[in-house]
Amino acid sequence: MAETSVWPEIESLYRSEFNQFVRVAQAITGDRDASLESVQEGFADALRNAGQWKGRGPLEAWVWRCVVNRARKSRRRPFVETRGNDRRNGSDDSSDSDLRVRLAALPERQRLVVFLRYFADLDYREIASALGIEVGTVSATLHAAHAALRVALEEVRA
Amino acid sequence: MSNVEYSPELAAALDRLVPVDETSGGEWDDVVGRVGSRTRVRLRLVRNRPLRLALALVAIFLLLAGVATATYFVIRASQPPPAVVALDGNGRLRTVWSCPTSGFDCGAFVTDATPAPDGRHLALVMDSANSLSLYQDGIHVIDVATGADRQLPAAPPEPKTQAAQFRAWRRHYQAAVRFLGCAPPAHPNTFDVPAQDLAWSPDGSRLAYACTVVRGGNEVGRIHTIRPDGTGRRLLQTGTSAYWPTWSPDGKRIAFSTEPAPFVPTRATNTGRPRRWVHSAIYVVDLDGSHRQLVTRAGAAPDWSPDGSTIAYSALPCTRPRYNSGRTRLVTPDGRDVTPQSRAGPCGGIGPAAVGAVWSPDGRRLAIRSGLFYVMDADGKHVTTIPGTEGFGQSLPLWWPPERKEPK
Repeated sequence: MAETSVWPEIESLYRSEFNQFVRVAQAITGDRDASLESVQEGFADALRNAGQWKGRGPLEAWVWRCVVNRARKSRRRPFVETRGNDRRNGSDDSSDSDLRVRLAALPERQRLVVFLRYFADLDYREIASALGIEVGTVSATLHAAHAALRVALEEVRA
Repeated sequence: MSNVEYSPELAAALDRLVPVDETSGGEWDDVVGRVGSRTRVRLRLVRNRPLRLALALVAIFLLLAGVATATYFVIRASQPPPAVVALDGNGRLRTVWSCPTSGFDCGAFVTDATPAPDGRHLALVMDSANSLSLYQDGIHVIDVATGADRQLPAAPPEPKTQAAQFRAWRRHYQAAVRFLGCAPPAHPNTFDVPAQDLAWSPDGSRLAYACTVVRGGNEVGRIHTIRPDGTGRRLLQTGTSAYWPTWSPDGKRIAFSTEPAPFVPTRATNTGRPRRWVHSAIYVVDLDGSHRQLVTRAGAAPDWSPDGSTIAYSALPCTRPRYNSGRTRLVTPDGRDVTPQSRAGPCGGIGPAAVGAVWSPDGRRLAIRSGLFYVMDADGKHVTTIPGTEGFGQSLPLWWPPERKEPK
């Protein structure tokens, strides 16, 4: 039997943070439609398994975990291949292309930490809870990602 | 969030890669609907009582079938292989032959067997209830030393009776099981019961055996003789129903009884109900069917003594008639009763009630079966029980080695 006492809180999160969830899911799946599907399925998972949360960590981080897991399962193509869509939107240039390649080359954990940090604006504790890792690991992972992306960032800065 | 590493340049670049799209958003009701659909499927599976009941029944059926199959194979595998046991000159049991493979492959048990006079071969028939048996259908002649087996062809179908057999098979299954024995199964669904009452001729040249067929709606016996190599089968012209062939020591005549037991009900094959009770008579006839001579009007299962002077047989007991139960009596081939203790009159006999009596090779003793095997002197004295013979499939005891005295 589903635990429904936290459903209002999850619904509130859905209504207020929907776009952030979609951006993260789109960054993971590389597909707009897949991202919408992932977000809705992820929230459905959260509602269905609300009894498993039991107040361990922030509820928001737990919902993020559900959505990220759904997005990872439904990933249809690598992040780097979304370039074609953006090029049609006229928003791509050589520095963005280089950044996209370097993002795609990152280990998955670093990439997820970057997405949750910049698209979802989560702090270390929430990221750690969402990905099921230690807070210190989040810090080290984000630092490593920044180092790997530094060249592209310098080009952006230049 | 000052303690969190943050790069404004990276944030700006990522914003360009995955811009915020405010144009569309999923409805919350869609999310709730996804939860409900999955939940309903689960509940439907759990709450569908007919489905749950059917699954439970299937599981129980599979479990019982598995247990039954395992039990069957365990029982069959634990059965000892069928064997032919015989009495030696001292009246002790010895195993003459046992099936070389497991009981499952051989069949349930030996129903009848007869030793060849040379003491090197054995003819037997095996219960054929197990269709996988290596020894089903017909007479098997086995070299005792090597175990080599030769299957003799069963009696040919009798065209005049085949239609009657089919009708009877449809109407009365049990009767069909009995009388289809010696003919090859004319229908794949019929069961074949092997020949019975095997008797090897004194010179070893021929085997005699009985089959049950249908004549005029009644089951009657037929005696065939055949060479041990399976050739030269002949139907003995007895002029009447004939069971229990026994050879004279010179091999020129055969004694037989008209019924399997001294007093039996005839069976109408279309209903299976007894019609009337009849006495079995014993005759002696030449191999060509001539010179038929009545020996006694009330007896069955004759056995010719090694010296040719006496025929032992199972007679009707003094008390009320009972099927398959008789007293052992002795008679000469020309019909003169020589049973000891003649004060008992025509319905008395020697030894315990028995299906039949078998002469020892030296002609001094008789082996009988009456639940257990017994051995007694020819005058009925000194009756000895042979232990360990309960439930033997063999209809009558055998003596081994089977050498006989020269006839007088």
